[in-house]
Amino acid sequence: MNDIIRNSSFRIIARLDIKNEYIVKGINFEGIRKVGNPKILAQKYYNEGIDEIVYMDVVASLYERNTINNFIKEAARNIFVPLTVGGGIRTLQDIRNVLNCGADKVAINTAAIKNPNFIKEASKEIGSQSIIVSIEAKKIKNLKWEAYYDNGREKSGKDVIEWAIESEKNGAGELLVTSIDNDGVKRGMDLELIKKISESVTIPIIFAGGVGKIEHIKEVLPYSNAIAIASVLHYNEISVQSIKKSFMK
Amino acid sequence: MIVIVDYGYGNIFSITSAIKSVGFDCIVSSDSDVVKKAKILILPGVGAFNQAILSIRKLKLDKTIINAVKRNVGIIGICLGYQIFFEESQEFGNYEGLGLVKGKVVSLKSINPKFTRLPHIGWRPLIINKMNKYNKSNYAGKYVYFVHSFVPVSKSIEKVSTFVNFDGHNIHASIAYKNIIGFQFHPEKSGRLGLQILKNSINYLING
Repeated sequence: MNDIIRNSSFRIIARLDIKNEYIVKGINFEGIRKVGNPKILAQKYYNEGIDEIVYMDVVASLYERNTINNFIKEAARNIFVPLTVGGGIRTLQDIRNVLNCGADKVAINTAAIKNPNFIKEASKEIGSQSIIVSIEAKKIKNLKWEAYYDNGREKSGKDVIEWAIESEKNGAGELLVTSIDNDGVKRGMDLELIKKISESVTIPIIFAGGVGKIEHIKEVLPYSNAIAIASVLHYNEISVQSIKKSFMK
Repeated sequence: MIVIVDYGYGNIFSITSAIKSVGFDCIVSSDSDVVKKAKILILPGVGAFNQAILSIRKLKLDKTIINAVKRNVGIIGICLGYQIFFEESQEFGNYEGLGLVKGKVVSLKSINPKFTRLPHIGWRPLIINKMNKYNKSNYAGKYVYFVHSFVPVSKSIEKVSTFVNFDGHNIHASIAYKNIIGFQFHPEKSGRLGLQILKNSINYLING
């Protein structure tokens, strides 16, 4: 096995949306297609040097919880980089269950929108370092975005920037911000969104949505130090190694 | 026997997996009688200092751990587990630690109020402390994973085994002194290099 090339603090994170036993991927959060097996792809990305892995349960139903728990345990047994789990995390017990399976962080969206206090409680009980507030951002007009929830299906009426600031105040340790407009389209990330949020909060932010080529990642460097990618990895268009190599000086 | 001390605040599943994957058997326990018999202790930790130390004291594990270390049992502390080695911490008030190592745990903000993003989350390259004589392996420039808002400052610089440069400041990233090893970063989350660091540390403690 080749040596992992880790030569930059810039985090490259793989996002795996899981529905039942498959990794799925949509465009603008719609039109889900099956693209692979979570165990195999997660292991592949780890072997190639991915910095972190995010598992999003897009079904997020109470009854399917065992399937994703098994994926989490499997990952934690064989993959030794930070693991984040999101999708349907509604209570402190949900958080504990997921962390006990081996996850390091949880990503919370819907439950936080419905009850912002949940983030305060969670960060107090579990610790900010494990609590990521996940924001799905859709552009309304110039420099204004609305936060969506329930996997891009529902409008919250909240302004993304204000919501990001409020989430930091509530104790979130990190934000995961996904551009609904750019997600799956592979034409670059929403740089205005990235700039605006970076200026507004002091906690680390992971940006997602839109990467189609390595140049798109480079564009984000001045404003961010972490991105999550899905389509280009799952469709085998860019390898983790080629991204890492591009950071070599 | 390697015993992972479970006091309620640690990523037990990951640490157990990591130790097993580098070829060692280990058990997890919160029982003083079991912890007493360990050849090597692992003290994990995720969360806040005050919760952790209160829990350790409630389980009466503080005296057990301190006595074990006095008897030369090897100990590895990770993240919050490593912070607990020190005399006190300022997180959410002043709390006393185990006092195995002289020094205090302080907030990163107090080291430099102008740090751009906190918590400190991400991969950073290690800087070897040449003054430390317990450091045999060469991890210079290798990246490991950090996630924290507080950091211990060891009174004795010779005990520090590595530093990390965070926003222009060198903070203490790990210590190695006789039978005591501690990491602010997470070796069990730092990929294959992290596993190697864990393996080397355990081997060092086994061989004395």
